[in-house]
Amino acid sequence: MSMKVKRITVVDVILLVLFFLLLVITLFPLFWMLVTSVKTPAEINQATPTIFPENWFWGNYQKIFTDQYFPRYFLNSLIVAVCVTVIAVMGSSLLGYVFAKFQFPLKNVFFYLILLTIMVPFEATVVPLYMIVRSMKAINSYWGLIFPSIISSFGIFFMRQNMESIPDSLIEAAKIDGAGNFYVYRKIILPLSTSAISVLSILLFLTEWSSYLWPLLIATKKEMFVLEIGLTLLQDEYITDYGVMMAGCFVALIPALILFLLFRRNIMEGIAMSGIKG
Amino acid sequence: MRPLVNRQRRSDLIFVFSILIPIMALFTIIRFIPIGDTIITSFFKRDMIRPGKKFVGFDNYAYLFSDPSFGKSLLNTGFIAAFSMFFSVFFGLFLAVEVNQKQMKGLKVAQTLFFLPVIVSMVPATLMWKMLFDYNVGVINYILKALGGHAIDWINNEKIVRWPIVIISVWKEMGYNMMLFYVGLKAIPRDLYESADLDGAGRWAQFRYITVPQLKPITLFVLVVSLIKFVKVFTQAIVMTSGSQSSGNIMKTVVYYIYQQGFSLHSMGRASAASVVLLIIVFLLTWLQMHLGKEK
Repeated sequence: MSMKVKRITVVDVILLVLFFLLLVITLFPLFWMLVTSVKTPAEINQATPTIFPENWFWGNYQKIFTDQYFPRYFLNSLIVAVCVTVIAVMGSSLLGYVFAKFQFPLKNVFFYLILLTIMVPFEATVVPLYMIVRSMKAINSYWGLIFPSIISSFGIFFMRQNMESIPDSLIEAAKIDGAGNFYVYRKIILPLSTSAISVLSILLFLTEWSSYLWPLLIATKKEMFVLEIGLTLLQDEYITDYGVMMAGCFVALIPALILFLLFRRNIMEGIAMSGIKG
Repeated sequence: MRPLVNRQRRSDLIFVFSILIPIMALFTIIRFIPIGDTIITSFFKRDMIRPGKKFVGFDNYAYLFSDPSFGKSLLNTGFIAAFSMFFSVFFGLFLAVEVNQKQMKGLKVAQTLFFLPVIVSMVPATLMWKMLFDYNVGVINYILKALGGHAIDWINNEKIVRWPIVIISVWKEMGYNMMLFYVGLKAIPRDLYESADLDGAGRWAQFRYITVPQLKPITLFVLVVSLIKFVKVFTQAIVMTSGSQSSGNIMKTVVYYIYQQGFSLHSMGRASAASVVLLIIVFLLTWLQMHLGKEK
């Protein structure tokens, strides 16, 4: 067998250039957000943009943190996203276990009903959903913001897929020792599904963190706004003051960035796998 | 043995239904009723604030298709969805193929960097790009002028602003599609390439005759999934075209139309009819995906 020497052709060079061009386009907006957030308004508005700030200016972050409402938006987003994640993951793992390991009447009917709702876009049901939440007197409340997301059809499907691979023998052995179903769930099923649960938690958290349409409908008082809404308001409050806006954007990205730094591989593979399965 | 089995069976069923019933009840309130209600309300004249409703048959649908604003929403949505899908899938595939090559170090790092926009939520993503597209201080117009061109009013021109919205959508979605294709590429058996190498097939031939056919099912899947996502375009369009930097001429999409009819004009019937149109589009696309997926 002869070793073939790889020649670098013109096509290779073109592809490589395109690759790096895309990399620059991918990173530039994030980079520009960071540098703009530490520039003075005068520097941002000058005709020839500077790449790095002439003097590092922290006033934009100061404005964000001392803003009357911005810290509140952040807190609201955090409360809503954490509550949604915890409740939806609990429900998904319990029902996932039920669908994965039990036989009962009409099982397939229930399962396909849930599966069917994955296809229905949330956006197409906001009007009646809004009426329901209004009749619950939950406008401008955390409960109202959280409510539509506390169940996740995708989560149930995803957990069932993962729990099906847990061997039945483990569960039967525990049951022979007299363990109840909930005990089995807590002591066997949950510990064996930690990676699936962490992937699902991160996905649900990120989805809720970035939700925009529903909070736009439910929160009409500033005290109940979430970050996504609050950020768009910065446009009007600090007219064309991009420094403040970018400082706000960066602060809004921090939780997602932290999750990404910690669980990079899990997130990337989890998202890809869930995309293909779901 | 028999009574024990029965007792076990009974406690299993109690466990199953004590979980199933509350969650299905929530599904009923959060999903089933709103879905049914959307379809039913689309045949009624119903106001969001005043009580009472009146059956009007297909009037709401007739209104939609005679309303130029709905036509425009459909057109904008179609434009944004088609171009966003095409470019995000094309670049996603390209990046996955490049990253999958083993000769270069640092590609894993590049892959992570390409994925970064996926975790950036849509509002900050749109605001970042909005700054880049700003007429006066935006970097993009600065570059255009430096290259001897004219500054373009990206945001306030109804026709032009579609492109920034497409760019934001592609920017957010490219890395996600890259990961889907990457998983697909990893599943292609290595020995296919090895035997092609032995036969003296070049890189292009290998791509054309091994990678492309092997990736065909996943490509169809990614295309449809992206299209379904972009048909629901709302946040990037509304954030890009509202606020103090913009003329207030908001880019209408189908979801925006639902929002406007329902929550600004309080016409639940028309909002529901538009919702049903969206529902049908997404169902057709899902059906297409399942149908194409079966052929393999």
